[in-house]
Amino acid sequence: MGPNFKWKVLIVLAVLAVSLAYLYPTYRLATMSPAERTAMDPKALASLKSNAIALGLDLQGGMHLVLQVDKTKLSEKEASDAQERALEVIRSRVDQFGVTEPSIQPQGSDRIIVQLPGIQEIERAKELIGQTALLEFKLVQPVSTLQEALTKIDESLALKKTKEAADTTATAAATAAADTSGIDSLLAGATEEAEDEKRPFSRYLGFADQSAQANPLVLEENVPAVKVLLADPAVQRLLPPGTAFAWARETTTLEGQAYRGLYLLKKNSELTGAAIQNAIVRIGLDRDNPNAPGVELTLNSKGRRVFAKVTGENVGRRLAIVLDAEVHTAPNILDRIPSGVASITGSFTDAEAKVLAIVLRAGALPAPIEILEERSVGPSLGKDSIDAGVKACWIGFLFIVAFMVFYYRITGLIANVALFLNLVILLASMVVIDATLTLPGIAGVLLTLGMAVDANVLINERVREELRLNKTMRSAVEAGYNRALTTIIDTNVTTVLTTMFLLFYGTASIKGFAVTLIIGLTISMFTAVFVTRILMDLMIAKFHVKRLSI
Amino acid sequence: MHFFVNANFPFMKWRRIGYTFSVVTLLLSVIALVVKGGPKWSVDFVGGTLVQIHTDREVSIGDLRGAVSAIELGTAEIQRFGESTEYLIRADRTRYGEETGDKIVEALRGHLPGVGIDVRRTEDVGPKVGKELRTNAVWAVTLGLLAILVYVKVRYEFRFAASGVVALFHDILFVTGLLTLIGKEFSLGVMAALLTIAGYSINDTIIIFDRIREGMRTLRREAFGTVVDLSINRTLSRTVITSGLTLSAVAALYLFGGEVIRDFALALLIGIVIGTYSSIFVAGAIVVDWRAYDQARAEKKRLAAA
Repeated sequence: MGPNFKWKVLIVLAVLAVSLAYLYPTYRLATMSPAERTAMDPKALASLKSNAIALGLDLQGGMHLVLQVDKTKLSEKEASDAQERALEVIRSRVDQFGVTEPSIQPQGSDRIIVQLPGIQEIERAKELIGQTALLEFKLVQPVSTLQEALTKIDESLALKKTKEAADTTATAAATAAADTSGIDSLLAGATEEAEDEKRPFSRYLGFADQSAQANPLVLEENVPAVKVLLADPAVQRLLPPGTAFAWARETTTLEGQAYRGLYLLKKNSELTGAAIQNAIVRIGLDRDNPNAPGVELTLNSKGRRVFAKVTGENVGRRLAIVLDAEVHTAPNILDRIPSGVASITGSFTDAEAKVLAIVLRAGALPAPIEILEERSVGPSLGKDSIDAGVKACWIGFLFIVAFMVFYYRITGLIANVALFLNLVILLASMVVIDATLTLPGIAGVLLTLGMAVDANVLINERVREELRLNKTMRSAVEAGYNRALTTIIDTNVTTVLTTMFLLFYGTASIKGFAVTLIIGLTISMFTAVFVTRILMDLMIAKFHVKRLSI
Repeated sequence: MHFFVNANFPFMKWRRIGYTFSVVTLLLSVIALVVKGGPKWSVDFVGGTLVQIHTDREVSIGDLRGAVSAIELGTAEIQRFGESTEYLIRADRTRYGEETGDKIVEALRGHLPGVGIDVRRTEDVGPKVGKELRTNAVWAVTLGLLAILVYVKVRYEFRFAASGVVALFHDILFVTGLLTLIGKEFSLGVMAALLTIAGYSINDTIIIFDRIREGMRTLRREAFGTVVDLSINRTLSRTVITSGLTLSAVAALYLFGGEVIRDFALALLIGIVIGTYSSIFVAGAIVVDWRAYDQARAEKKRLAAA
């Protein structure tokens, strides 16, 4: 026992006390009944939770998403803060969803990690977050341009049909019967009416009014057929250069039948959601209809200039608001708007106006996002995992402890004190460094115990060997510790070295394993060597043990 | 209580048997891997969807298969997972992408009316992430082994380091082969177990090496093979106790830790056993033969020079 002995004991006791203090909230939370939990002040409960060991999503249940921001369609300048903007949008979406303690973190330059603990409606959340929200303002082509294109498409399709009919007659009916899929069967179905035969495409389209800016409507049941025709590359080629068709998001009901609007839009957008500063629902925007709700759209300074130019050059035309390639609404441009504040009015219901405002606001995501990875664990499995993991830990721990006492007696007991201390400090360290305990992490705790006890086995075996050389207890212990120390350091370093690579390359739950194992083994250097040495010295000096059972 | 107080097993005399065992099992591992077309990668590494469900009553696998095959996912594999009312469905995600899991659950609910289905876990990994995770796993294992090689080289000598790393390769190949042979999946967890096995197995090896180095100083007159044998025998009780304790900790994990972590625990169980074996019969044996080879060559040179 050196002169620093008292200090050493004090250090150990202080570490133990601090660790226990750090673990108290975790203990309190784990032993609380659900009734107590609900009775507790939510603020106090939240603070208790934040001071307890954080549980991974695999233990508390929840959803883990890896999202990718698709920057391929963005200019360099737009791409520079695309991830940041996506983060904001996802944050606001998650807020709308009302998850407690969500975590939304950027990863690399184009990824976002979203963690939603305790979420129940996984499908809905995924839909909301994964929505590829690309908001664009696109000019609707006038009916005259559309008609030109329709004529060309009709002619081409009719010609193709006649040609095929001729071919069929020539090569017998057998081949014609073989191919009844896709466009050909649709064309075959169009033969019924002579008039329609000349208009295989436009026969599906109807107009609700005669305005020069109207868009055609398609009977809901014909939508799939039209989609097949539109997907044909031959049809696509006949569209005026720089235009593309887009469908309306919602159906329109006319005389009891559901129709879907079809719009021929300029392919390049005039503005994107990035130009939007804000969008709110307002009453009284429409002077003719002062009680109707509308949406007031405010553009940022850059958007304002472009918007003034676009509206100025296209008075009388329609500007479609397109989210995810679907047209939400296509208001008429009544006048040049230089102020950057536009009113969108029409026959909106309150709910429709609200949705439009949300689309403009939250949907102003400048780049599409893709879900790369999703891992969800239901709360029931999480609880089962905790129970099973903790049970396995206790059984493993008790077995080790029992064996050590059985095999080494007093020194085994000393090793057990160290092992217990190791467990306490390990868990407390997790609270201090704010690490997350995952299911593999629990396995890491158990493995730590198995590996930490190795140090004591090494020391004890060495002391036994030294005792066999007829050394005194004191010098045998001295020699045992000294000789075992380098080996212990070597073995711990190699394990930590390999485990460290899991930290860099593992996923969240595997990282949890690496974290507990690395911390645990590091602490074992303190507990299994430093602490047990103190206890050994104490034993020998205070109780004048000459032959310690070992 | 003492195990192996005066153990004196002639391990190095038995090393040919060890070599034979290792070569045969490794050949079997390679054959298993070739025949089965590599390890059975989990969705983590090849992309795909995994859904774990709990039903309120027992359902036949055939019924579940019927429901899932109706949505034509390409490949879908269904198995019981632990309990009789717990099932695991793994499916190809190329057709429905990120919605595959939802589609499966929808199909099951539509097909099995009246059966309460609780979705316990879903994992959906896109092909891009799968490829990344695979690359990362390979890097992690490679760099982990390299780090060990460098560390042991610095602390001991190159022959020791290289022999130790050969033993680790042996362990990793053995575990991978055996898991493939018995049809277990190779997941992120198993990858983590492999690295842990490497870290654990090298511990055993280092402890023996440490003794060999000490023996080379104190037992100068003994043959190198004898020094190695003595070192192994002197550390034998430690080896058996530590391996036994770690093994029982992992066994507790395997038996009581739940189905989710069972494969991970199984990989560790196999790895600890084989890692303990390889420290003696691969790392130790190679060091003995390598040194003998070097000495024979040095002798020849000396004779030639003379």
